[in-house]
Amino acid sequence: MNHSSVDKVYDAEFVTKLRRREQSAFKKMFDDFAGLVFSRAVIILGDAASAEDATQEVFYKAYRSLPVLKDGRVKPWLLTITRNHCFDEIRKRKCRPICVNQPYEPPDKKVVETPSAFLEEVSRLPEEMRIPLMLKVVEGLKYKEIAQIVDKAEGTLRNLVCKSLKILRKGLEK
Amino acid sequence: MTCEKFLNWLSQKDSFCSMDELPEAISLHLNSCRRCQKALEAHNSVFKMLPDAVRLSKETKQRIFAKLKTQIGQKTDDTKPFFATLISFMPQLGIAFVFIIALLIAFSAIKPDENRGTNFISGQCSVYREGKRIHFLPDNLPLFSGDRIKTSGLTTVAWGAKDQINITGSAQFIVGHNQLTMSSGKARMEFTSSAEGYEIVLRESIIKIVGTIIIIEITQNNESITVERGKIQWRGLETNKRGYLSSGETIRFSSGTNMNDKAEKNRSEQPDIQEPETTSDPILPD
Repeated sequence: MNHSSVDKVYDAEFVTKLRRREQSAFKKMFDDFAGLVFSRAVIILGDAASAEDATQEVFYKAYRSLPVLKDGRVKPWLLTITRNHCFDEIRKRKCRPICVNQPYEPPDKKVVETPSAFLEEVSRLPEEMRIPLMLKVVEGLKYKEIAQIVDKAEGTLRNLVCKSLKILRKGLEK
Repeated sequence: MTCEKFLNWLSQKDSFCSMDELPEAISLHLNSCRRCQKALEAHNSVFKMLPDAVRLSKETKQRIFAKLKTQIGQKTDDTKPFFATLISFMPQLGIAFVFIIALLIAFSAIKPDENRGTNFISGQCSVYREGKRIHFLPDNLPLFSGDRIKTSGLTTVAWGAKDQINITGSAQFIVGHNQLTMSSGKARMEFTSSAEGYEIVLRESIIKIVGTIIIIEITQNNESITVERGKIQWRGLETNKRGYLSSGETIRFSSGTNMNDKAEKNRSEQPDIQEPETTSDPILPD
């Protein structure tokens, strides 16, 4: 999946409708970008249920800010809201220590080969490993782009992604 | 090429490895080594499964938008500065003050109705009170114990400032105090985290909410509860056994010969709601 294809730039007339919060315009914006926001939220938060709530909140915040929308380049604006909201949520959780050396216990049995079960397994990886991995695999971002999101050096990110892939590969090989 | 060298090579790859683009030495090794083939397949399956895992389904998308509409509709967008608003209402404030005092005097003389509901309902549903359907359902209709609800889409039952249940699906309920009895149908219920302690009474069990999203289905002979998120506590009406269900878990109850009397009684005394011949439900506007 590569959301870079969702590079819609709305024209001035549509932007005016968005600023006026016209329902049809807002619905179209939601239809165009909900998938992107949702997948980015899953990547950062690690589970679909939290991502569903986050998507709702992101679009609610976007709705409230529509009157001051600058231009038709909605994608980076929505992704910024998504990033800020999701990292705020992570801070609120305070449940998982962020540590590369946190031991990862491989599953006793073969990881079930369905996407949702596999996502649960990926979510068990520490955030420092999971987020770069998913940004690379799901969104096809370059390490330079990932570095702007998670604020880590490109070399470190590459090592983290390779390490994550090795761990997951071993789980799938069983 | 040895297995160790291949695995070291694979450990440095951070993208999908197409069979057509493999170096010759590796291709030759894979032709004769099943273990390394499996390792490569496992590596590539990560790139196949993860994108599917984060894909937004049509159903989820519709659900998010429905909740978003409700959220936008509930919040008022007051862009006027507070003091400007206050000043503009100055002449009316004096009259409002006298009116409020009059109301307080009037209400102090009224005996409180113990049956008065504290729940409010809105959304795609029908409400029946004392056997009669309430037509022209307003937003946030107060509910009374004994009221019967038939949901046909997204319905919200709220109490307090923030506590609420969002119910999606076609199901029938009877309202109680901090309790809903579900008599039939299938519904997905999302509870706000402060809804802890709320109970759903089914035919064979009672479930107590600890902050969760659940899916309940009742058929003629079975009922099942699936926890989508969070946790619930359940209790069998017949066996009085209790337990917890966590995210992803399902429990099923089947109707046996030794049914709990209370459960049987609850079902037979209150037959399913029969739809009278009326006009269609007024759907809340977009």
